[in-house]
Amino acid sequence: MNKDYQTLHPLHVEDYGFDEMAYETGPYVPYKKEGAVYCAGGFPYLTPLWYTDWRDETLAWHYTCALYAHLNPSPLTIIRGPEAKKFLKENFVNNLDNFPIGIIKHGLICLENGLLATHGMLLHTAENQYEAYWHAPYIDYLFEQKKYDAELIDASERQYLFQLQGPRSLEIVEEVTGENLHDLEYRHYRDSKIDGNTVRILRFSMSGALGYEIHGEIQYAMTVYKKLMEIGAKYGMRLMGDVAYCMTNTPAGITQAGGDFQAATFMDEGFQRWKQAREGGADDGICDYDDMAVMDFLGGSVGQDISKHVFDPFECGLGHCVNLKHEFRGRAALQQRKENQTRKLVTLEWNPEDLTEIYASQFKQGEPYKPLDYPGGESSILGYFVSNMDYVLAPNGDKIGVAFGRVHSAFYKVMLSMASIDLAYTEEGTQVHVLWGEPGTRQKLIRATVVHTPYNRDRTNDVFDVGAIPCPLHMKGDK
Amino acid sequence: MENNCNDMLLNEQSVWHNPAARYDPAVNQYCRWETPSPMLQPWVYTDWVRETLSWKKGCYLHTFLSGCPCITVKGPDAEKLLSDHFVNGFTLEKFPVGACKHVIACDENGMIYIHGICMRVAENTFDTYCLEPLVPVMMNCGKYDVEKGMPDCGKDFIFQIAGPRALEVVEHAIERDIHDLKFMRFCSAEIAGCHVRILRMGMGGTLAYEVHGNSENLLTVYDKIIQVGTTYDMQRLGLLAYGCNHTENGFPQSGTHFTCAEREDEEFKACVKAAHLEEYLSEAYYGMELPLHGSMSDMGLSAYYSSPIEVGWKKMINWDHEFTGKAALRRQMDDPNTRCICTLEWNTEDILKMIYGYFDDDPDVPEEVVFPQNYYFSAYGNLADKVFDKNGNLVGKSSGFVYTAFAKRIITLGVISPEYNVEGTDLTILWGTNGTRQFPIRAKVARYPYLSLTKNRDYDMESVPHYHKI
Repeated sequence: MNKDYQTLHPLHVEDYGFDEMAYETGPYVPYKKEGAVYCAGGFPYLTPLWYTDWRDETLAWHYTCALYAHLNPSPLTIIRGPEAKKFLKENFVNNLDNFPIGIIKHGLICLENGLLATHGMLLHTAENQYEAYWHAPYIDYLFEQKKYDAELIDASERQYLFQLQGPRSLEIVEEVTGENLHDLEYRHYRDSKIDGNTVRILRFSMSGALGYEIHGEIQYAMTVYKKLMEIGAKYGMRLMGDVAYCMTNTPAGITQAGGDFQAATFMDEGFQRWKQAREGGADDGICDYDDMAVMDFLGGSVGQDISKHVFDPFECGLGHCVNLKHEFRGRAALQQRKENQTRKLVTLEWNPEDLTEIYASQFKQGEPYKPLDYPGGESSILGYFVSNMDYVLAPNGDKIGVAFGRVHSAFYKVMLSMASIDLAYTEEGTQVHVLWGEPGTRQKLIRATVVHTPYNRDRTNDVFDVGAIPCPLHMKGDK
Repeated sequence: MENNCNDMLLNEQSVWHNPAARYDPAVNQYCRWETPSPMLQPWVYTDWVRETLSWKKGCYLHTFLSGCPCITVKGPDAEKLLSDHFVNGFTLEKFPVGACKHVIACDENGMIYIHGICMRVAENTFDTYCLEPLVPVMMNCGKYDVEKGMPDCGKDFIFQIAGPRALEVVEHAIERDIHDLKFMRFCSAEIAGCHVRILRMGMGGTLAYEVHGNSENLLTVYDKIIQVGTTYDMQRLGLLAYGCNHTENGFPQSGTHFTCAEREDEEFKACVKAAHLEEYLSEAYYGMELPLHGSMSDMGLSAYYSSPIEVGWKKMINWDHEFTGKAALRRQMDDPNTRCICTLEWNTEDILKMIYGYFDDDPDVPEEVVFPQNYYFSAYGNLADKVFDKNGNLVGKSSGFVYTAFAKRIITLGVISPEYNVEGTDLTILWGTNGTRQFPIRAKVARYPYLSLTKNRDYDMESVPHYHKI
């Protein structure tokens, strides 16, 4: 299936509708005319679960390029003013003193108790001006707790956000902008233009593959998307649906609060009171997915005890973002948590014989095991966010941690989980078990092996040799 | 910002939600279709296991055929028009007023060109469903003395209620006893004050009814059926589960089990021209060329066609009249090697071996067995695999992949050489499109239809409680 990947499912722009009145998929992406299966409920607009099929789409970030455009609107908060940095430093765990303009940081906000509340991209865009993605509305709540000489602006619905990932993504972005972007380093961004309109190009990807984001003004979203389709078609690009997208981050070893596990904002009573007061009043325009972030469904063998669905940054692989050399919300707790860290993030590879037994149970009389119908990413399919947490057990049966759902990689031909487990078991090659299935249903112990994190160590965005990629603009010039 | 734009997009006044069902905010998965008009149809209502079990235990309500093209053939030549093209018998004796028929038209080679439903509502009047483009072309080409007209996709609603408790739901909704309504007959009734037609037919493989009516009354009737249905364990059927009906219940279906042949003969083309319906010949109507899936893919599109004799519909052919494809069908009847339909039950060990292939060391993966049906392919094209005997001879094809949670098996429908059509015969299906990693899957010829419930035709009506006004 891999040999002819480039030409296997050619993108035909004419199969899609760009009618501005047809807002079922929102003003960001066109709709597929026939046979699209949509998810309703996750985002404000309907989002296709797949365009071709999940295998084909997940292979795109390995072979060509995958375009994902369903994170729209993305909560975007602009923080500006003389005390913008002061506000951020008091609330983000990151080191913001070493933060030049043009850099992307992974910005984390924790509760006073050190549990991860919200996280996303943080950009320094101008003097005294920052942009935070996916931190609203918690960041708005924090901002109101004190007086700062700064202002917060919700810009979520002013712009679009498109993600391109895969080895051909650079060429596509260069062709659409007409600019050589080979020198744009990992976790850097800069402005460019598409059809004369300013866009921002960010070198960043969820899958860890070479990847770029394009952010621009919302009124140009559809035309840019169409252009990306036309150019991308030449490179064998695939449009990516929600099922495939929810499978990007596990092989990359990047956990997500609100995606893989429960964000801790629900535990902040002050925030909850603030939210209730807001909801009673007029719409204040703040982009708010927080109702979804309080997971609608807690799944897995860990059960419904929500306290087992929240994590601090050290337990979920984000400890490197924490800078304890400044004063910030949750610092004391995080200091303590770091000193007493018992668990860390690993990747588990599931045993194929045991997986086959799960499938086999669907062909036998009696209660089957929890099925593996879908390749992973239950959140996307069900239309609401699922925190699926399964116990990880030592060979002697001790509970040594939890696994965050599972993802079937068609490229690596494995079933993978990210898991947070006791330090004693984190060495590569260690044999553990995952307890699969909700309490009260038929459960199965699945053998699993601790493997390297990230699993996709051979193709990471930060070390990708873009020098080996031809620049399509030069090639045009040569003719 | 509120996250409830879906409520705005999908409420029943919106152009997007299928008008044949009420919008339910709890439903999160929808399938989009452009034709006949853009609409979103629930893909899964609750979960597909529960929905596919509905027609074995309680019953289901499926409403999405409501958008299918309906057209009335009316005039002195109505019977002749249908009779000239369809294999069925249309004389008043064979097809009385009040009866409905599954009608089939073939191309010159006797391959199925179109099939759908026809009801005789008066001597010279037939209501038809899903018989595009043949019927509108013939109505408008001037050859027949019938009223001209074009199909209307929104005029009537079609609700399908199927399963052992279907009759109780229908009787409760119409508030009268229709135990005496025979199989493939229809009658008039009222639901919530609205005139409807009740047909005893359906895709459930057992007791089943359809409720047809004017779309103006759709939601009134829908609400009444939903309300009474709660008493009888009725499930709403999403499109994913609906696609599992036909294989399990032994209803070969175009688009699932075979591809419709196209009429390319000059006579038909002349009629299209005379009717000024050239769009029916254009690519725009037939759509893009769909890719072929499965191990049959190297045999060309025509290998995906089937004849009515092959799929078990020879009893519907009336030999006492002339119709397109008659000579070819006659030859098939006389040929002892003409293939015939069966159910193929897949060997579980081999399925699991193939699934293990998702995770093994081979660089290639087998094509996915998608539960409960191969919806990727049914949306994009045609899927059929080769079937071999134990000596490796090609003996037929297999299509309509379904995992049945009721029987806990994967089954397909086979069209195979008659000498192998004996229950228990061991055959081998070659799974996978050519060019992918293919797997031989052992399969046994199984009972046809696979569902072991009593057929609609043979149902013991007295086993169903009669309606009593409460």
